[in-house]
Amino acid sequence: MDHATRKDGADEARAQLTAALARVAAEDRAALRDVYDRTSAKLFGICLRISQDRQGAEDILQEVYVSVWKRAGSFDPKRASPITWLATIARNRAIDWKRAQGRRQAEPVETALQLADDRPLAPELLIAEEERRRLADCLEMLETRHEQAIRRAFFDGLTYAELAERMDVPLGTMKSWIRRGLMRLKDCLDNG
Amino acid sequence: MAEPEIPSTPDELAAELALGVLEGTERVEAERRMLADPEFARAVEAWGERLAPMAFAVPAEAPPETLWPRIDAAIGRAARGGDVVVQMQRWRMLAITSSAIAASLAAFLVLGPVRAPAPAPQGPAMIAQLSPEDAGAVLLAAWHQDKRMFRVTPATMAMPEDHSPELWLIPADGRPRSLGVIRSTGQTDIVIRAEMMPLVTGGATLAITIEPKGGSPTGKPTGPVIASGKMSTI
Repeated sequence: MDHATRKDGADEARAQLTAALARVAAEDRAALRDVYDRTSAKLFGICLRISQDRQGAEDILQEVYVSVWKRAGSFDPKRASPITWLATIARNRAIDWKRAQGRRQAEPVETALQLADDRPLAPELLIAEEERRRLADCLEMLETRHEQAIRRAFFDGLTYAELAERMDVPLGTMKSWIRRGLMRLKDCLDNG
Repeated sequence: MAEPEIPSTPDELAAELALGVLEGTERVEAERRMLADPEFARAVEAWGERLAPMAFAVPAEAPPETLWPRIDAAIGRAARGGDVVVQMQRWRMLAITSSAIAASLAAFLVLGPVRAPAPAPQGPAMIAQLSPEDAGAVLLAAWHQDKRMFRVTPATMAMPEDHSPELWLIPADGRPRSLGVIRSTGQTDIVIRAEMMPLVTGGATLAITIEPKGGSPTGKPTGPVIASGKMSTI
């Protein structure tokens, strides 16, 4: 598949997912099923990764789509891509769940992140892939420890204090790692 | 071990909130600021948008087939539970703000068959009530099958300067078709092309988006959906 075809496929998929969310906002249950069929495998993967618990991930995914049902009207296609909006809800719900469970020692995340997902992508996931690659390229430019701290915060829902303890550095150091890392990331993404 | 703490800039704070590393009073303060300061809230959203694709590196995995029925049931409960109040408020608001619309629609319904005493009915007349989440804009679209026409009457609709509201039809295939720009006050009649007729069915969605003046430059919705509703037979 050449780049232009992929891009058209991604644009089309983005438009369709956006339209499906508008129908969900109009309380169309079939539209929610449509959104579910297009996105649940990707979102379930995210819930599993963050919760590290299969039963928990199922409960979280249920909450995610109930939230989508209630909040679809607040989705603004000008400010967010639909798949990113959905992924953010999944991550936030999963982190809430994890915090409510009490924290267990999180596994290092490197292994999961190095795994490239080589299976052919459904059209709507082309958007996800395009966005993932852009961010991954910029994350690679960061200092390794800054990148590690940002990844662990993202996937394990760790706060500054927890990150400082787990990575064994003073709190102030952790704050400056994350801030510097995030600002460099922004430069790279916005100018890339 | 105490190091001098450098306070974060607003953009850094937005990034920290989006990443989720704040806790305690810092987090509460940042969340409060998000409610009070729209510019800050947009910065947090933008950071969420930048960071979210990290999650796409995780391999996809299909959830078990038992999960959808659970979600479907939970939504049924949600619809019967707390959300009913919201719906009733929407209806009440519509009833108050659009009595004139209701009157003219009723006139159409009563007069329509008299004016056109066709042997067979012309097909069902349908309406869609378009409501936003916060009931800030309400709009009624009546479908006149015999005239191939939507009559769109907004009750209240605030529009930013240099923008136009655009009406979309979203049939079962999920692809939005533009029905054109409408007036933000007063009624607009939209006659649709014959080939689009099969798409106008009960259950199709109508939605209004805010577009640049004159309508979407791309032919697809580019702005936020301010109201949407499903078409239903009267």
